[in-house]
Amino acid sequence: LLALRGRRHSLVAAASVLADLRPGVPPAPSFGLGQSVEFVLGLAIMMLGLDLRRGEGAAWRASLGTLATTDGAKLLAVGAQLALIVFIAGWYQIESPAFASVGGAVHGDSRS
Amino acid sequence: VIHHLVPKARRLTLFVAISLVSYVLVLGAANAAWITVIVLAFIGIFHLPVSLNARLALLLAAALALAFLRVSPAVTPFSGAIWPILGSILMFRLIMYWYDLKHARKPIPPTWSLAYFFMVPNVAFPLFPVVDFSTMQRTHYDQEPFRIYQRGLEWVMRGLVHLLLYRLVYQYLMIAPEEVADGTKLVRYMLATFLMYLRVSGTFHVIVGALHLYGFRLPETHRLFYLSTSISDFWRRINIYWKDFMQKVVFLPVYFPLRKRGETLALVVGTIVVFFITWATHAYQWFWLRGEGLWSATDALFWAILGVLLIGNSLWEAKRGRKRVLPGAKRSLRDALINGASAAGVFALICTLWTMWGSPTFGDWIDLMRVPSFTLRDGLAVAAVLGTVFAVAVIADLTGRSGGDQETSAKAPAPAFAPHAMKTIAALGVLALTASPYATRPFGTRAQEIAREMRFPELNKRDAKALQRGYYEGPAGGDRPEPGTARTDGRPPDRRAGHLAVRRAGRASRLPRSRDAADVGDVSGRPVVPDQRVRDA
Repeated sequence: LLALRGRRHSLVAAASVLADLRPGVPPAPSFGLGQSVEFVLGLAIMMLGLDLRRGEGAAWRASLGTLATTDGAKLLAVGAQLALIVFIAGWYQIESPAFASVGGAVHGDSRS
Repeated sequence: VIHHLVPKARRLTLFVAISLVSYVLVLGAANAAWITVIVLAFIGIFHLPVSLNARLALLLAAALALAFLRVSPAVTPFSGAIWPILGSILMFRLIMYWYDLKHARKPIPPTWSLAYFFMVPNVAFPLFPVVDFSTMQRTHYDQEPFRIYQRGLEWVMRGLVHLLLYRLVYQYLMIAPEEVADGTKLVRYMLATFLMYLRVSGTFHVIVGALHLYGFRLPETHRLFYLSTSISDFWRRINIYWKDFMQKVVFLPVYFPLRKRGETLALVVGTIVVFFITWATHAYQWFWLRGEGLWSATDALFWAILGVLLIGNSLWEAKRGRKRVLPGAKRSLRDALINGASAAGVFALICTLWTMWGSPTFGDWIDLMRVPSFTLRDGLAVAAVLGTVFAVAVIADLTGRSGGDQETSAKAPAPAFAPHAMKTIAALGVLALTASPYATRPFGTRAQEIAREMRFPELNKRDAKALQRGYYEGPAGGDRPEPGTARTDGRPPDRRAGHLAVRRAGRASRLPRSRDAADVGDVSGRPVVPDQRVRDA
């Protein structure tokens, strides 16, 4: 919403979402869904801000406008399936063991 | 979901941004910066305005310098933990990129180069399918987006099922070689060894499924490989990306120049070269992922036998013609029965070869296969396994599923989205409920115990024993086995700690440290913090 109101706001919003990435802040030992959404959203907002600055907002309006069509329902179905997949992967603790060990080795955290 | 809401022209850029930021989030800024700089340096060499030979020489020098760092942790300026990821990004993708760059009709945009090398799932999966660069570009949003996403979701779900089945095999079917005391146990061991490959197929399904969610409509990585009806069919169905990679960069460049001298010669030489390179690149992959060489007689023998069988099969097919089944074509019961019998035969053959592949030496494998007696009960165990493969293959054939997911052209009419989505949601719901305490309670405590064990990646009895041995034998406990640890190339775990080595050496009191235990720890080879939830330990 901030992004839609103006360019400067969009960049501020993106910067706050991406604040976790500033140098010196150690990455989280586990890579959660919330963090994923946060940084993808941050990147998207930043791109939107840059496009608005160039006066290329029409493509975004068209793209976001599809939410009001059947595409919106389809996107909801895709999101629901993704949520179930994330839930199952979490429930069964399915993750790449290499991922866990790489993260663990880098961050020195316990993988209990 | 957010990616889809971005205008189509910006989606690839967002994919690259997501990928690059993922490396920072997972590995930390410093390690991500090292990976980025090294990979960019390699990409940069490809695009230098110098002669082809000069670029090749530079690439070779850079690769040798990197290999030196791989074996010299003391002088490496970054964490050793990033090697598997870095190796996974560069080791085959550079070859594929080089090939496609050489044959490209127009310059490759930088965004595409970055998208190819930094694909986001790679940060979590060092064992990565060899994605074809041109296919990746060609199939990006070449169909209606939701059709691509839906297929990706179905593949991710299939990958999860494979990984859960793998966990079942690991916990309940896999036994230690020293437990192989009769024919039935041998059948169980051989079956489990082959089924452990489900981990690789599951992982690849998840990776390629995830890439579909960003619009990359890549082909299948595996196609019902347990139901292969010939050796050629097996080669075409298991790790399809590897087969395609070999065909593109090795087989065809050898085959076409030799074809003038005869089809048979070209086919035989091309296949020999493919299998030689496949064997060598497995060792090469092992080096980059684990920092050590992989040289074993059984490994070489496995690829040699597979190569010889494939040549024989290909020549037979070339002479008699390959029987292709068109999608949707009506199958007779007779054809289905023949296919079922072939699938059972190939399954038995590959199980045998796979067991040999996992043995440290050929002698160990012979010892393993030499069971004291083979009773009627053992025969029934063989019949049960092969009968199941036969029945599933027949059913798959009659229902038109034996070909796997049929590749559809970009212009094919899209199937309805809703039924597919509903089916997947229902299947995922069942999967989510399967191990729920509410769902398993009516089936008793054993079912609840299994459900719990499915949820927690624990060591099976064999690895728990190896862990205990490690504590007592290693100077400081040594590396610890990690639940579900398999070799990164999908080979079954090495059995160096098994009774076979002991039996042959006659030194039961001084068991050599398990290769499994050496295989484990984190991917960089560092010891990892052991998981305390060791089953029955």
